[in-house]
This record gives sequence, C-alpha cells and structure tokens, in this order.
Amino acid sequence: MKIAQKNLDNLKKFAPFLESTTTMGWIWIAFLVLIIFSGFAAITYQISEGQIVTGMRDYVSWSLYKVNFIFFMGVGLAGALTSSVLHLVNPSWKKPLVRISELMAIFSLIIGPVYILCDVGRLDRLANVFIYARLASPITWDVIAILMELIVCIVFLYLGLIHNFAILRDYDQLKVSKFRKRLYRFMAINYENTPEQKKHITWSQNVLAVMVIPMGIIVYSVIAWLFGMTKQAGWDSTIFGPYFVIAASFGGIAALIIVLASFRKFFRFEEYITFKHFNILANTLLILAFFYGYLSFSEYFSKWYGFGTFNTELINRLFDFSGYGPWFVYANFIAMLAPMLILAVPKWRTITSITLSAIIVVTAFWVKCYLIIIPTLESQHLPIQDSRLEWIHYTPSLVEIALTMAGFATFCLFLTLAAKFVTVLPSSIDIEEPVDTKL
Amino acid sequence: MKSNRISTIIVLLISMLFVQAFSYAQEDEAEYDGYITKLSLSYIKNTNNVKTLRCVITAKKGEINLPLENAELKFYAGNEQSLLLGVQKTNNEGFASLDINNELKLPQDDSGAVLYRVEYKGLENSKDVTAEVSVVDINLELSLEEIDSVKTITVKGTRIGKNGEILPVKGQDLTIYVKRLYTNLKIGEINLSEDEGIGSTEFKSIPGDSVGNILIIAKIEDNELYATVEKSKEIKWGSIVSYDRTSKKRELWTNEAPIWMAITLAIFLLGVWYHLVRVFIKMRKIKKLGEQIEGVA
Amino acid sequence: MEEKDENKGSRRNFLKLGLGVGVTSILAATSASLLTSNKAFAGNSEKIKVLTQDGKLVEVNKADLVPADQIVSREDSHKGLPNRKFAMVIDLGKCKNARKCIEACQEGHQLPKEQEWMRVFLMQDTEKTAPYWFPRPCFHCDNPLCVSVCPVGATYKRSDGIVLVDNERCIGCKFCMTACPFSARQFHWKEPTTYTVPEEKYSPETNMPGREGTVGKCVFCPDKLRKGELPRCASACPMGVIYFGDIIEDTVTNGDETIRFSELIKNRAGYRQFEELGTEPSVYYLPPVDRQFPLERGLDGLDEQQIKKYDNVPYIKNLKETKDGI
Repeated sequence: MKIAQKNLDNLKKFAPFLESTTTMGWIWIAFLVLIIFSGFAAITYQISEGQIVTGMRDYVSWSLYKVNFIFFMGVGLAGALTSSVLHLVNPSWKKPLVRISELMAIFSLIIGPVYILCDVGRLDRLANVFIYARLASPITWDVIAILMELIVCIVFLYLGLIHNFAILRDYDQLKVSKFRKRLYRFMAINYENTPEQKKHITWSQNVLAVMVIPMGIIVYSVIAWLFGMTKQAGWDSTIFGPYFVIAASFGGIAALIIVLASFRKFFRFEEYITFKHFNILANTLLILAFFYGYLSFSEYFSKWYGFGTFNTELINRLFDFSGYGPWFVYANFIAMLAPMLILAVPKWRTITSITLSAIIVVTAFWVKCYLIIIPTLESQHLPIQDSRLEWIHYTPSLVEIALTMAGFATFCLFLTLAAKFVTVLPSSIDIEEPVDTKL
Repeated sequence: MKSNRISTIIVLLISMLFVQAFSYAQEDEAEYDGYITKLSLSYIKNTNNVKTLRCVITAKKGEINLPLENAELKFYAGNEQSLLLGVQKTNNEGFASLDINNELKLPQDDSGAVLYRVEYKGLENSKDVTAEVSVVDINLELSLEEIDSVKTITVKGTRIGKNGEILPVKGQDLTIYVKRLYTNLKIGEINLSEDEGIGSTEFKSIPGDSVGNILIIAKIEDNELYATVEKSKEIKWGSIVSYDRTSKKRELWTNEAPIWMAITLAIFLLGVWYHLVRVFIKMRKIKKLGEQIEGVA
Repeated sequence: MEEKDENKGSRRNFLKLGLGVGVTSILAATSASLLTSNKAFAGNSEKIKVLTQDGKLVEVNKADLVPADQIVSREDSHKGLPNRKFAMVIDLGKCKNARKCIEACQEGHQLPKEQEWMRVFLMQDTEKTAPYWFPRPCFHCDNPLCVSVCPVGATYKRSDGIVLVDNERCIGCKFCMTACPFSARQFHWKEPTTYTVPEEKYSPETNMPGREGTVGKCVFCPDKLRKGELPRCASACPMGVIYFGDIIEDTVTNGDETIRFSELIKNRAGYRQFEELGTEPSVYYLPPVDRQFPLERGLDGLDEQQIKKYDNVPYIKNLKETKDGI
C-alpha cells in the first residue's frame, strides 16, 4: 500500500499496458503465435521423419540451428553484460535500459538452447548428457555453463522485479484478474521496501551483477570453442573465444537498440527512452565496431596471407562473389563501416539512423554466424566427392526456415507478453537510489 | 526394315526372359540344370604326422559358384585294388576332410607314391565326379639350435623306401614361416641339400608373445610329388613384446578428463552456487522481514 | 528310403543356397581360420597350435574349438582384443578403384547404396601433380578428436586401437562428425530400411542395425577380427591393396602376402595422411608409385553418377575438355 502510493502517477500511466490489449496488439500476438505454430509443425515433422527433412547432410552436419543458437546466445550475452554493467556503474540514465536488456538476455538465453534440441538426433536420450557426462567434451562445458548462466540471469532479473511486483500487488486500482493479483503477491515475497529488505536486495543484485559478467564471457567463449576445438579450416583459431564475445556484444547491442526503438515506437515510450539513450548505445556500438573490425581483419588477414592449403580453400569460398562473397562483405565490412559512417557524423545521428545501422549490424551478425559455420563445413580437409548436389552445398530446408522464424517470433512474443505482465520501464517507479552496501 | 529386325530381337529377348522365368518355377531337378559340378582334392600332412585329405565340392554355372552341402564323398587309396579309406559328408561350405589312419598299409606304385581318389556319386541330374592326387609320403625333421650364438633353423627331409630303408629328400625347396594372428609370416627359405637332404637358415629377430614364444613352421606347399607337408616347433626365440600400453602422453579421449578441468569446473560451480545460495537465503530473509511487518500492521 | 531323404535334404540345401546366398567364394571358405570349427571335423581328434586372442600360443583339440559367432555385447565391445594393436596399410600403387572394398563393406554392414563407410577418393593435389585413387576407411586415430569431443562417451577407443560408436548411447549431436578431419563419419538422417539384423542383436562391433539420429562409420570389422579373419574390405580387394594386421607382432597381410609391417613401411616409404593434424591415424599409406594399372582403369565400369563425383578433379576436367574438343 505504502509503496504504491509513492508511485501513483507513474502507475496510472503504465496500468493500461497491464490491464488491456489493443486490437493491434491482439493481431500482433496472433501473428506471432501463428509463426510459432508453424515452427511447432516443423519440429513435429522433423521428429517424425528424421533430420532428412532439414538441409543438413553428412558434410554440412551443423546448420541453421547452430547459427540461430550462437545468434541468440550472443544477444543474450550482450543483454546480460549491458544490464550488469549498468547496475554496477549505476549511471543516472540507466533506468529505461536495465529491465529491457535483462528481459532480452533471458529470452535469448532460453530460445538459444532450444535450437540445440532441434539439432540433436535423439532427443529421447538427452538425459545421457548428464548420466554419461564426459568432462573433456566442449558440449559438457556448454551445458553446464549455459545452465548456470540462465539460473543466475533469472535470479538477477527476479531480484530487480521484486519491487515491481510489490507495487503491483499494492496498487488497488489495477484492473487485472484475481489470479494475476495472487501471482503478484506470491512473487513479491512480502516485500515492503524496508531499509533492511532493500539492503538484502541490493547486496544480492550487486553480487549477481559481478558474477554475470565473467559468466557471460565464459559461456560465449565455450560456445566459440565448440568450433575452436576442432581442426576444421576457419574454426581452428586461437582468437575464437574473444572474437565471438566481441562479435556477440556488437550484434547484441544492436539488437538492444532495435528492441528499445520498438518499445519506444509501439508502446509510446518517447518520453522515457530518449535520444540520450540511443546516443550512448550508438557510442558503444561504434567502439565495438572498431573492435569487431579489428578482430575480423586479423582473423582473415593471417589466414589469407599464409596460403595454408585448407584455409585458402575456405578463403576462396568466402571471397567468391558468385557464392558467399557478397555476404562476407556485408557481414565483415558493411557491418563495421555502417555504424562508423552513420554515427561518426554528428549531424547524421538521429534515432532513426541509429536504429537503421543497428538493423544492419544485427542482420550482419546473423549472417556472420552463418558464414562461420556453413562455408567451413563445405571445405573439408579431404575433397568432397559426391554426386549429390544437396550433399555438397547446403541449402536450408523449409523446416529449418520455419523454426528460425519461430525463434524470432518467440523472442518478440516473450517481450510483448513480458510488457503485459510487468512494467518494462522501471523509470522512477520502483528503482530508487540504491543503498550503499559492501559485497 | 531395320526397325523391324530390332523389334523382332526385342520380342525374342522378352520371350526368352519368360521362358527363363518359367523354368525357374519348375521342380527341383530343373533348377540345377546347367550347373557343372567341381571337385577338388588336396593332401596335407601336419606337424603331428596326421595325413588329411581335404575336399571341396562346388556347382558352377557362369559366374555363380555354389558349395554343395551334405554331399557324400568316398575316399579311396591306390589305383588297381583301391582301398576305401572312409566316407564323409560335406558341410555348408561344400567342404569335407578325412584323416588317414597311419596304421593302414597303403598301396604304393613303383616310385613310392600313393594315389588318393575321392568320388562323388551325383544325384539324378548332377554328374559323377572324381578327383585324384598322387603323393609321396615324406617326413620333415625340424631342429632349432643356437650354433655359435646364431639362431639356426635346420630341416632334414626323409622318406621311407620300398624296402623300409630311410632315404633323403634331395634338392627340395621349403619355406620357413612364423605363425601370426591371421596368416603365417614367411621368414626364410631352405633348399634341402642334394646329398643328405638337409638345409638350414638363420633366424632373425621378430616379435613373439609376452614371454617371447613363437611357433616356427617349415612347410612344403602344393608340391607335385609331396603335396603339402609341414612341421612346426615352439621356441622362445621371439623378442618379448611389452603389452603395457599405459601411456604417459597427454590424452583427451579417455574417460577421465584431465584433473585441472575437474578442478576448474569445481571452482566454477562452487563459486556460482555459493553465491546463489546466499542470495536465496537473503530472499527468505526478505520474506520473513515482510511477514513481521505485516504482522505488526 | 533313408538315403532318398538325405538326397532330398542335399537337394534342398543346394536350392536354398542357389537362391539365397548367391555368390560365395569357396577359396575364402576353405582358408577359413583355425579358430572356426566345422562339424565335418567332428570325427578328427587333431591337435593344433593356435594363437589365442591375447597372443599366447596354445595347443588345443581341434574339435573343441567353438565358432566365434556370438554377438559381442555392448559392454564387451568396449574391451578390445587383448594385447593387440591393429593397423591398416593401403598400397596406393595397386588401387584401381574396383570398388570391391566398398561393396563388401556395404554388404557386410547392410548399408544402403549411398552410404559408404569405405570411400575411394580420386586425389590430385594440383594440376601438375599426379592423380591417384585413395581408399579411405575410418583412420581409427590414436588421438581421436571424435572421441575427445563426444559428450556422452558413445564413441570410444579400445585397447586394440579400434574406435567404435555405440548407437544405443549416441544422442546425435553430430559433434564427432564436425570434429573428424577426415569426414569419416556418417549420420542416419532417416530411419534406415536396409537392416535385417534384429535390434536385440545390436553390437557396436558391427554397428548393425543402424538407428535414425545416430552416427555410423567404418569399424575395422572387429566381428571378423575375433574370428581370426581379415576385415571385409581387405579380403574383398582383388588387387590386394589393403594390408591389415597387428603392429605389436609387426605383421600385416592382405590375405595372399604376409609382410613385416616395419619393413613394408621402411622400404616403401609409408606415410599417414594429414600427419600434421596430430590425430595419429592407424591407417598407413604406401605412395602411389610403380602403378600396376593406369589411372583410367578406375573409371571403367563406373556409372555416370559415380563419375560425376570426381568432376572437380583437374584430371577429370581435362579429360572432359579434350573429349568436348573432339
């Protein structure tokens, strides 16, 4: 009761999002559900027929599923890093970004591993991963690290939301179902915003924020090592861990910009999410573009310069302008240059231009994931001598495309539903100046 | 005109196919029409002086070569007054063998050779077949000695003459083998001398078993006069091979991961869970504190 | 009366063999190892010396030997033949792409036509170097990356050096396939239909029957090795290209010819493919010198599909260009 009183003005503004959904909102949700449903149909079909319905074959045995996996895990990494850095640095403008980046992180971290499940040939034996776990396998590292990361991120998000649940619990005028009210009460764990309770929460948040940063880097490095530990041309690289982390931060920050822009536009948050936020993210994007460009260059430059047999075959494939060439240029040059050109000129810097360059970077990051996996598998050490075209060149099948789209739709749906359940912008509603605590 | 001829040929071919199909559907007898029955006979005298006759009987038609199973084979010795040695039935590989009783007095010809014969009385539609092999019985003596610290394999070939006298086998080539897992490995050749019928060769080092044992075999193979004769002996001449394969190399494929991985993982998990548990405790405290306040209120 | 029945029996067997088995090599049958016994021997009390699987010479009653036909259980298949270390030597100078090894392997492991555990590549590094036929089984590496990366231990290396896959544990993550630098592993993309072996007779040693969503590859035929026979590819090769044996006893054989492994490698400059990758293969190659056949012979009898495979090889490109030119 007391907490809600303080925030009454803001609550009135945000209540409609929680209470009802517009017609457009319903159409949007229905559209997403439809895409997700097609994804369900696709995975059912794949499970009944076997992976023959995908475009994967013996040479290219990892494909879109792994691409989407590293894409979403990358977005998750960027979201987790952003929210924990913001929490620790605690700048005055952080409020609109914190919860959205946390939500983005968690939803990506949930969707990413689902793609691994799509990729596994024998889902019925999944328990073997735990029963017969082999510590020397990078997949085991992955499973452990991702599970830990997910748990820590969920607890971190929840800690930030307790205050919000308490407010919603205490806000009598909120017109939502009884069940939801009870859910808010349960989730609020008797939080009354006493100094002592606040101290506990802040302590916990600080601890987890500090943990999330190294864990995020570990998780994504381990994912990079799924590839880096093999001897395949293009994967056998010592910088794969850091390269993946930088590339993911780059693509993930861009994803955050797009998510923010979408919320700003569709939820009419112009008042809260301002140019200032976009400007700061644009600066981050710019710095990361330099790092990304630098690492990309050193990765391919040394492969190109050395004339190694296997690397040369891969490089030729990537530079082939009747094949992967344009995509390689897009993922490595345009993605790096676009933010530099658009954002380096102060005049050109607007929310629209920043969002536009973010869209380029996000798509480029996805293409990058694709280019890391598929051309490498098409360049084996021994020549691929097969008469079946689909065995030599990978083309995604409808099943894989449907599941890819379903992943993005799920991501959007989760964000939409989250905005219906909690106030996604904690701006001055439930975040107050933190109490200083020692870790 | 031309197309006409071609169509005629096609019709012919098709009708032939039908005829073929029809004939396959007939009674048993017709089905092995055209098969040529083949019988082969070989003679082996092994290291224990057991003489064995081995037979393989097959039916051949074009590319197809089938073993005849359960065929009754009669083994004989001698030419004019042949002596029945025994009867055997073939197994599913068309194979049958018979050990010759060493106590039997076998009819010899002038050169001391014995003629062995095997007969197959065919079924209604397969022909009778007979195979023969003529063999002079010889003995090989194998001696393994170290002469002036040179490991030497010596073989002496003898045969029993018409009057029971022992004669040398002169000028015969034979091969020395070592028994290996799948086949015998040739390690040398010996030519029996023209006077005494003795020959020798040097033994060079070769891996044996875990105590160094190897089986050395002296063998005459598929010889016109003597057929196949072998003599073998076991001796500790092989180099002892070490089967201890516990390597000190770095290995990642074994079931046990390197210890540092386990330690790193343990530190990682302990660190994460220690803090998570502390956070959970804090959350419970928050709940309890809230309960107190609500109680007061 | 009795005799008649027997005759009938023999006739029926004849018939059965005629229709069911097809071509059976008699030579292979008679040279069958000492470890297999035949009922035809039952009357003989012959004593023979045999080499046990752990490398000891023992004398046994020939009649006492039992056929080693039983299915090796999943647990036992982990053990490997004691005190053995198997290796293969492939003489590239003799290979003429007769594809008999592939066919024997496919028949023996009931693989569909398009699935080749043993593969024959037409290798030509550059336009100026000589093309040659290159049979590639699984290399059964001593440092197998596929085994290192397997998260569940479904693929494993035994004491005798053989790397096997347990289809009943494999989760189908395909990591081993991307980790193998020799593209030796294959996936069952759909429920296989070629297997007649019942599921309860599954053994990793034969990897039959294959299952959807799991990985298969060349197994070095441990089922044959247990019986004292050579792997299917080695015994099927009409050119004697493939030598196989135990390198602890330093002997390899292609069935006809038995040679000391170390001397063969020394005299013929044997090498291992992609030594620089450090996986330490158990398969050695003898360089393609002193060819017994001209390379084109390998193209004889191939259908268009099979020739299409080699389209990217400079040699074949040239061949096609000159043909088109005429």
